[in-house]
Formats: sequence, structure tokens, C-alpha cells
Amino acid sequence: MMDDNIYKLDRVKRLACNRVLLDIIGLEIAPDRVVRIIGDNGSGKTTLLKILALLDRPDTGHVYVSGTLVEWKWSKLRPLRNKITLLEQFPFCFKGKVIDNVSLGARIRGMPKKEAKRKAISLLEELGLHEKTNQDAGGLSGGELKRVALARALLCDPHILILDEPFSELDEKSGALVTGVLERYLTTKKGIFIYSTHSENSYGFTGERRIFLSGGRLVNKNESICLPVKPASRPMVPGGT
Amino acid sequence: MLAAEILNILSVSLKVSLSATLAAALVSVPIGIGLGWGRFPGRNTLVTVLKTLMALPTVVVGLLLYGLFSRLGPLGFLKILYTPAAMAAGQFVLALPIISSLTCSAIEGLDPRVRRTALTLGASRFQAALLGAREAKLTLLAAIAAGFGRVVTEVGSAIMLGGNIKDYTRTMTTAITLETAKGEFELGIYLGFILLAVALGLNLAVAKGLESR
Repeated sequence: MMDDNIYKLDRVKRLACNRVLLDIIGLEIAPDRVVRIIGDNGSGKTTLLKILALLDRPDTGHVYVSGTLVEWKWSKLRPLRNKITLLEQFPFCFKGKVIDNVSLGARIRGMPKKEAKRKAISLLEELGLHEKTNQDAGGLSGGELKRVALARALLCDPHILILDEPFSELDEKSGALVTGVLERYLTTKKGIFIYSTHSENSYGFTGERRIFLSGGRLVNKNESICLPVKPASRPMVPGGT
Repeated sequence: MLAAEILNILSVSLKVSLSATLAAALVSVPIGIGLGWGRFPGRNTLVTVLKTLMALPTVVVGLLLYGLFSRLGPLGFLKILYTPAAMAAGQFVLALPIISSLTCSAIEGLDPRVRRTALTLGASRFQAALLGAREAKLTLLAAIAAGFGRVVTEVGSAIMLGGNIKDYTRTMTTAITLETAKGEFELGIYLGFILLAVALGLNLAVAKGLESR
């Protein structure tokens, strides 16, 4: 089946230890530039994002990406996964230098080593991490790690960029840097950007489509998908709505 | 026993055990990673079987391979019985479940974000496995060292498949067995200490190599 939605979830349920983590009867995500998933801790945001990133398989239900039914077979998953990159709430950095971590995804996706390193340095500069370029990734703070992982995700140049609470663990200055980089991403790339926050009153982008989650279920779905969507997004002032 | 003879025995021991361990590692590490990260029907049974095979008696391996490699056996045409190659084959069988099982445990114990991160960055199954192996490098080397420790000290299959032939298939352990049978306990203990010293030296070299990286 083909449709315009970037994602379609049909009766998707994810369980863990007999507890329902996510129970979505139906969700369609149109190809808007920015989609924001809002929910309290334990509302199922991370589970939903992992499913959208095709890194977690629902126990029941169907997931469609750009109209293609996800079959959860390795050979079928990889081409779909290559369109998507997830930045986890608590990202992981591999052993080695920061620069090697940032350029890793791009190199895996076929970018020449020199070009990947040059772009990685440029991104690290934008994110205020120039001095950390040749440092061991193991010595980074939580906020620095998040920015390094963001640089790594952006360098993959995915069609769909998924960020799980990208502004948590960041101070105001780092938050502004991240917002600036994401704004440039949105203006220069044609990709789709899905991110989660636990509060409505945190960093945000104008024109974003909002999806509310509570207890693993969609809340007030109709309202959330009727928000105005603009073709180009501009970040709101940090702390604003 | 002459120093030259001891050196020859040591050389046979190391050649056979190192080649068997290396070959087993090349097969076992991918198996261990596949089992550690894979989820497929029968996976748990396979892990249990491998863990059980860690206690495989060396004489049983010797007996089974003797049957295979003997002149009338299915692999008799290879004509490798009573050669270092047959001994290495026996040690390969002994090391395989140890390295596979310990690799599987090492990979299972990795942070689950390692695999997720590799996959979301676009890694293929092979690339993800390489990244996982790199993260678990120290534990994997410990698994390989454990496999080497098991095979370099075994005597059952070495005697049955090698025949303890002087200057050809005589290893440290088979030499110790022979000297003990002859009542040369002092020499047996002396050879035992040499074997331990070699194992210590190899472990220290691996540790030093890792530190320098």
C-alpha cells in the first residue's frame, strides 16, 4: 500500500514483563518537517521512538514507513533503517576519539574518511566541542556526550532524524547551540525531524506537529494533528512554548 | 633430557596449541556474537549445549577424532593421525565451545545501546558485530586466553591423536606424562613450571599489547 504518510502505525502494542509500554490503535505521521512527541516519564515516548527508528519490534501490530510495511527481516530492515537515525536520550559513544565517533556513521554510510572527518570537525565546532575533537569519548560529560551523538546523527544525513529528549542534560548555552544546529538542519536539509520532550514548555519549533502520549496511549490525538504546519520551521526561544 | 629437546617439545606445544586456538577463535567469535545478539528458535538450547561442551573430556575428543582419522575412518584418507595436525584438530574441538560460550556471555553483557547505536548509524550485521567485538575486546581476549589455557594443558587428545612421538608430536603435557610414568617426577615438575611460565608470558604479552593501544 502507498500513502503520503511517513509513518503509519496500526494496532501497535509493545509489552515488557506483562506491562503495556505502548498501545497505539492507529497513528499516522504526515511528512511534516517537525513532529514533537510529548509525554511524561513512562508515557512510552522512548518505546515509540525506538519503534519508529526500527530498532524495536512491536509485539503486535503493523508499522509502515513511507507506505512500506515493515517486515522486521534483516534484509528488509537495513534499507529502511538507512533512511533513519535515532539519537537516544542517553546516547552511547564507542571507545575511541570523539572525532572517530562523530564520523563513524557517515563512514559506515559510505562517506570518504577525509570528508567525514572534515565535516565532523565543522559540526563539533558548531556545537561548541572543538576542543574535544581528539579527546577520548569516555571522558565526556553527559551534555557533551549528547552533543557529540547529535553531531554523529546529523553527519549520517538521514531522511528522518529522531531525537529522544534532545534538550535534556543540556544547560542553556548548550541548548541554544543545539537549537541553532537543528534550525540549520531544518533550513538546509529536506529531512523530517521527530523529537520528544516530557514538557510542552521546553525548547520547541514553530509549526511543529504535536503528538501527546500518556500511559503508552495517544492522548487528544485529533487536536495534536490539527496544529498548523509551516513548510520552514523556526525554533522558539529556549524556555518558550 | 637435553635443553634442545625441551625447546623442541615447547615449540611443538606452542605451534599446535596456538594454531588450534587461533583457528577456534576465528570460528568461535562470530558464533558467540551471533548467539549473544541473535534471537532465533533453538538459540537457548544451543547456548546450553555449548556451555555443556565446555566440560568435554579431552579423552572423549581424542577417541572420536581417532575414529575419524584412523585408516579405516571417514577421514582416514587425510592421513593425519599421529601428526601435529591431528593434535591441533583435537584442540580446536576443545577450544571451540569455550571461546564461543564466553564470547556469547561477553556480547550479552554489553550495553544494549552498542547494537542499537551501530544499527541506527547504518551498520550491516557484520559491521555491527565488529563494533560489538571492539567494545568487548578485553573480554573476548580473555575468552581466547581461556581457550588457549584449556588446550595447552590438555593431555588426553594430544596423546591419542599425536602418539607422543619424540621430536614430532611430543608436547609439554605428554612429556610430563611420560616422565612421570618413568618415575622422573622432578623433571615432570620442571616441565610443568616451564609450561606455566610460557602461559604467563603469553598472557603478559597480550596485556601489554592491550595497554599500549
